[in-house]
Amino acid sequence: MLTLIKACLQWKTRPGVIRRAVSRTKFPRPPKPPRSEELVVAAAQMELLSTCNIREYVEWLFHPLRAAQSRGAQLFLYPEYITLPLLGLLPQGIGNRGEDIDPGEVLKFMAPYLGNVYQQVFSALARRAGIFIGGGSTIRTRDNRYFNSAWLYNPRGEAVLTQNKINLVPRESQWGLDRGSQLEVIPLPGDWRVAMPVCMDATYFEVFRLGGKQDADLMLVPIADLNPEYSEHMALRGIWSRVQEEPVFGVKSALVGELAGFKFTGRSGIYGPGPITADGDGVIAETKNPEEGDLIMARLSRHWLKEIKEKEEKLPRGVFREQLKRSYKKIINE
Amino acid sequence: MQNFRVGSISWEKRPQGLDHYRQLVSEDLREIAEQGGELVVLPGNNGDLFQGEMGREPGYSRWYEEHASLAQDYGIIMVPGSISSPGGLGRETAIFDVRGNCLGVQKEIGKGTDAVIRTWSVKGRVLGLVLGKDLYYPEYGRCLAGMGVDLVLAPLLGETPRGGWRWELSGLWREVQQNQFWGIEAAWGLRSGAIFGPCEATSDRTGILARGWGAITALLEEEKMKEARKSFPVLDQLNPELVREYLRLLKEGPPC
Repeated sequence: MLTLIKACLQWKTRPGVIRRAVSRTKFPRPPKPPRSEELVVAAAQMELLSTCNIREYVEWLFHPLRAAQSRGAQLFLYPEYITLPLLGLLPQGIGNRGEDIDPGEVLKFMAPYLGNVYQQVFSALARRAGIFIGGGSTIRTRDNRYFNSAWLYNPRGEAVLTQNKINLVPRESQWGLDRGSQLEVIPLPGDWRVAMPVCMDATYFEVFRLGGKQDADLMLVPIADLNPEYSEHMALRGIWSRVQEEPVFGVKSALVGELAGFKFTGRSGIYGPGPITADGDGVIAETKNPEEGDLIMARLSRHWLKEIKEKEEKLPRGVFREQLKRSYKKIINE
Repeated sequence: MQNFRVGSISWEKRPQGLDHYRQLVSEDLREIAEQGGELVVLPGNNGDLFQGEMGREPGYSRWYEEHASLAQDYGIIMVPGSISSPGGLGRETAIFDVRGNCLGVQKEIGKGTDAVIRTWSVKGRVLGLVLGKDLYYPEYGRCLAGMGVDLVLAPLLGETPRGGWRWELSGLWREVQQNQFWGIEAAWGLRSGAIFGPCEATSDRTGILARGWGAITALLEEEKMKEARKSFPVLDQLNPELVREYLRLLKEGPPC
């Protein structure tokens, strides 16, 4: 039975199907690459669908991307677990039966197919749209290990950044996913430097400090919060808090809606340190409804960050280091 | 560990002189004591009133004496606000027990002094104090978490309010959420006083147990803290490899 299902998935996700689906997407002429000071970023808030075909999946991805690209977006971000709709590729809705199955086992079984579709689709979309695309994340398998991983593609469709989620939520630990250990920061045209920590990673200031120490200006954070009732305060514990501590911009893209009995809520947003935002509250742009699809955009200037960094009071070197070492020993039980 | 009722005193405006301050503090301390409060935090910068009217050194001594008496009179554990340290190196705060004994002093770390982060065991709880800009360094909160702190007390410095309700959460609330301890802040002219816990430990999931001007109190319920840490185990999920990587980078240069 399993062999049959695998053969079926192989057939449904074959390269020709993906090529044809992507070839239907049409974009206007791409915007110019980022200039030294400014970057136009966009974040989708994607409302889940369940689909049994690649064409419908690509269309779902295409609409917000085209809307943003045609309005000048140079970098576009999708949410965490962006390949979840493809669970519908499983025969007879196996992925839609909720409690009957272990979601972790389903995701791990699907990992090779989801990873394959992800890489082909987002690479092709970035090339066709002619802009940078953070594809959000997907579960993937490598050397018999499973990761929640995100990629950033350049306008030529090349993967220029791969980020494994560093800090898992308890559910992912129970599923047996592996963790990343490094935060990769890469340069973009115009001297921008960008990293892409995934969801729970934004709960930890250490991740953003690693970004700051590598001169990151922009942290892209795809999220998928399994939280049936949205809480504004709980949401503030992530990227918004982190960019108040480390002077960088943060872009968050949220997955929302219901699938297989699981409900995701969240608001996509673009954030910065409070003093550089118009209302002083650290919010540059944010969607309104945490349960519906939406799109936000903003033009960011590195000049704003430069001013904050110049004013920032640096602690004398080593002030916290010794106590931190002792504290971390207790926290991580070493 | 038993539940613990705690309080905070904050005012919208700076008191008009020392006599006005004494009157306000007495009224609010009485209210907190009547509500069964066992510990209170007073607004930061209140030492300025003493040092402004009496001079730097006499005001410093008097600030300690008067607050020790207040702690004893009201039978309450007290963090008496904050005062400029002798020699002008930043500020300091203290903690008094119910008999008015000074249990210890915490100085600002970020001012480049040789101060260290300290903790105190009081009524079976480990308490930590944080002052001024130190609150905005997340490393400070992480240090306290590793030192086993249950409750962090923050007499805040007055500054221009900005950014509405979100901005009010950018200090101690943020540390409470990422380290899962309780927190109390008190100030004048900045934002109203507040008592915080992890979002999961508050019924409305805001992480705010009490907030307001004047005297406020809240009950810290240990069972709720345990449930919060179990349902969202932030520190358990922290990746040790990330910590090692971070410590490696700390070796290489500022800040921290």
